[in-house]
Amino acid sequence: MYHETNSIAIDGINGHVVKTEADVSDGLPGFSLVGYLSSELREARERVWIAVKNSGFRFPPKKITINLAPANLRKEGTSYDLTKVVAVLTALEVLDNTFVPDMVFEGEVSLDGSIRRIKGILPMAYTAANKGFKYIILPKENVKEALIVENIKVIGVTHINDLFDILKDPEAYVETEKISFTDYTKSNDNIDFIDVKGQIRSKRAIEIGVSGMHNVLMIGPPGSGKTMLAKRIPGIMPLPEFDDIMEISKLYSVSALLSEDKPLIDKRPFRSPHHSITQTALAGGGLYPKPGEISLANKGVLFLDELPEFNRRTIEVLRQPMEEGLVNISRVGFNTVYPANFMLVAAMNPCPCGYYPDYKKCNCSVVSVKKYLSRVSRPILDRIDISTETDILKYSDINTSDNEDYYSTNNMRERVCEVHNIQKERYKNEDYSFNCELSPGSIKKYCKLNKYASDLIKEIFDSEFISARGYHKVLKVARTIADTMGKEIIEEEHITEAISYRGIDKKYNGGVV
Amino acid sequence: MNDYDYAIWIANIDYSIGNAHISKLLNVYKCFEDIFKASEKSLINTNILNEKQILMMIESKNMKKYNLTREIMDKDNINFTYLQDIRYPKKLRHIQNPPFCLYYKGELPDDNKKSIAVIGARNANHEGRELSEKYSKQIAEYGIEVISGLAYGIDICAHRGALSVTGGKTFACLGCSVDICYPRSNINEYIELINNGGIISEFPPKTPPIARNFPMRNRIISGLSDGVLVIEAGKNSGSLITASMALDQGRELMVIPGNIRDRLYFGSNELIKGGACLVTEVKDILDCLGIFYDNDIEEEKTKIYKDLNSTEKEVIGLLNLNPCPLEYILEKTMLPLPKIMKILIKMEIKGYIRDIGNHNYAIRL
Repeated sequence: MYHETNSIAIDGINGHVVKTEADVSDGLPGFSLVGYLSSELREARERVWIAVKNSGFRFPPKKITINLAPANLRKEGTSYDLTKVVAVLTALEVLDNTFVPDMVFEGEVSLDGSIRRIKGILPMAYTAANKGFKYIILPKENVKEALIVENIKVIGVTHINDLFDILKDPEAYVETEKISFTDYTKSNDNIDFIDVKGQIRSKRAIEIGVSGMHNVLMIGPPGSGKTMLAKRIPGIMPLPEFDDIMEISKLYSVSALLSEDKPLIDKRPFRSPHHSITQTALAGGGLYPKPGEISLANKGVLFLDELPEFNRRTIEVLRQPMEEGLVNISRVGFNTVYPANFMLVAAMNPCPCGYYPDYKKCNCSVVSVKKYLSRVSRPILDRIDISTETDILKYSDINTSDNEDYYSTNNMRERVCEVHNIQKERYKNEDYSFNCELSPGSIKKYCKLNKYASDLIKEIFDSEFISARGYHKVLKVARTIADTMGKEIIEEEHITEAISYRGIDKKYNGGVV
Repeated sequence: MNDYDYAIWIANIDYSIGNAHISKLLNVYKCFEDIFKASEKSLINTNILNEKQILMMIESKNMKKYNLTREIMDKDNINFTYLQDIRYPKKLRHIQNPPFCLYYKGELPDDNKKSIAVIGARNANHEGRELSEKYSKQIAEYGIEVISGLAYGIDICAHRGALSVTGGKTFACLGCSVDICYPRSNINEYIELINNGGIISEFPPKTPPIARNFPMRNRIISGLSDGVLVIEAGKNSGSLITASMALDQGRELMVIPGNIRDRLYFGSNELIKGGACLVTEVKDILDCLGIFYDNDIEEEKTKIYKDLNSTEKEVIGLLNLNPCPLEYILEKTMLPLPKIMKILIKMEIKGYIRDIGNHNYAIRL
């Protein structure tokens, strides 16, 4: 007697259909699992055996073989338990198999036969719907996560015994509660840029940064509000669209970061890893790859606080993902791709004590300041277009009564969206969509300067105020600044503002130290 | 071998055989050649060197270290002079404990010209840097040689100021040997100094910059000069060591005063309290050295910014040497931020002002 069932294997954030084949034949009684299995899957042999037994069913003394096909695909995790149970029980003709070919089974079984919550349900349900399956059978606790996916009927199970009835008449058990995607996106944020008093220059720099998707570095003394500003950045990005939300949520789903009552990540993520983070935790990896912080920050903000404190080699792993918007994790026999399309926001103190160049407060020696600044990886600084300095707040800033509406999250987001649209329109024939992605070649094409501006930039370049690399950065940022003002031709004013966001290398007493 | 060669030999025996030993030996043996030819027994009899040093001296007669030093000197164009040599700076000869020898690149200070040592803090702030550069420039214009130590902060600005004058001479006394540029980042000035002055050190080639050498080089800085100008010396600053050495050597001590509450000026103000000459303009320095000058150098004081328009002039009028926050400029001029930024950046490019970090601006002299 032979029967097969379907389930989904996760690869990155996409899924493949995995067929579970069960065969019951005469021979030496036994129960074996084959098909390129990880250790937790091999252990499933015991779980399935005992769970089925404890659900009140007795296996006949037959040779039972279960194969997970395709056999060359590495499978891991505990989500295949349920599909094995169903495969065995249908092969033994205990369960009704009329609807089984249209169904996908996901779930971990415990020894008493109850079904446990698993991770990665969202991409599984998504794949199942795309592959044309009608039903997805999954742990009751995961139901909400799957309900978001349209075109598939979701059935939650709590115990193996429920399967007997469900497979006879699945329609009766389909979850009727429909959660529409819009229910989740209405949640309102309680952090707003309006809470940040003062810091007008930094707010402006951030707005420009988000408008052109430039990476931003904030430099300032401790307590000047760098983290506070950074936390509010995802809020001024355009609201995530359905595809974005799905992509973000899938990543969180495979990382087991979705909860029952919050099955969808409807906001742009803000990830702020501690500086003791390892390369693997940042980029993703492990024996069975998991998304790292850069992937969890996909479509949102990766905030690196105390940038010089990060291990230099850890930071260097950001280079390739920042160029390509994805991270490719290679393992023997397979590789996994996770999206990593984030905006990098970094913060640092100008010196170990944080008050340089104010010698009234700063006690650091010249050498220690130099050392501190040089700890930041050069290649990463090259990828940061905008540097801004945060000021220490004065009492008058904190206690100001006028609520500066201009820099409220909603207003900033509106302006950012406008600039994004301008860029989308301009780069519709290109394979990039933001100013930050302009190559030196395309800078010539898209960054047109008027006469005053080109005179000015020549003068600046000749005075060795900026380097050749800085020149391109300035033009890219000036392009965005011009876009925020709705100008197609870059003017003098845009260049000067862009220059004020240049890096730290030429600042601090002209780089003399 | 002549006296010059023997002097190089004796200077390169070991660190432990220093100036005092050599001058005592010279009292006994009259000339270097006699020291070289002295037997072990006679060296023991003089009771100047200990056993180990005598052994080293005898071993060094194989000329290994000597040859090595000569090789580096030839390759790197390093010159050598010693106390008895005619090229040895006269000013230095008369200080207490003068260095027995000097290695130098470029040239040595001219005995017939006046020279000033400009010293001060490494982590000097904008005001100190600007004053250092400005005064060094002005005194270099009067043909005075500027001597300093190639360190960060005041030192390097002093060199820069003097180098900006055509024909201006400036000399750096190092705490390491002359073939090493310390700190490394001042390499541009190091190279320029060789052609417009010199690099001077008493340490044989390949001596690394170790802390104990620095107070020793300070006595050369003050010894080579007629007067010492102190800018921004904090409490317990190394500049105070140089200042006290300068007083011991009978040099003029000139100090730029600062705010009495500013810890960067504690040392400076203390020196003034002790009777140092207070300097508020370059004339004070010239007076102190007894140099004649035209009275019209004065109106340099207020710089005329011919190529600035009226708004730019208004903005620059708000600034001084102390850091001025951006908000203050915004408040006073009532101009929108982008416009102010444009003005500030343009003036910075022209070299009139400088962004000294954290949205603070100050003028440049």
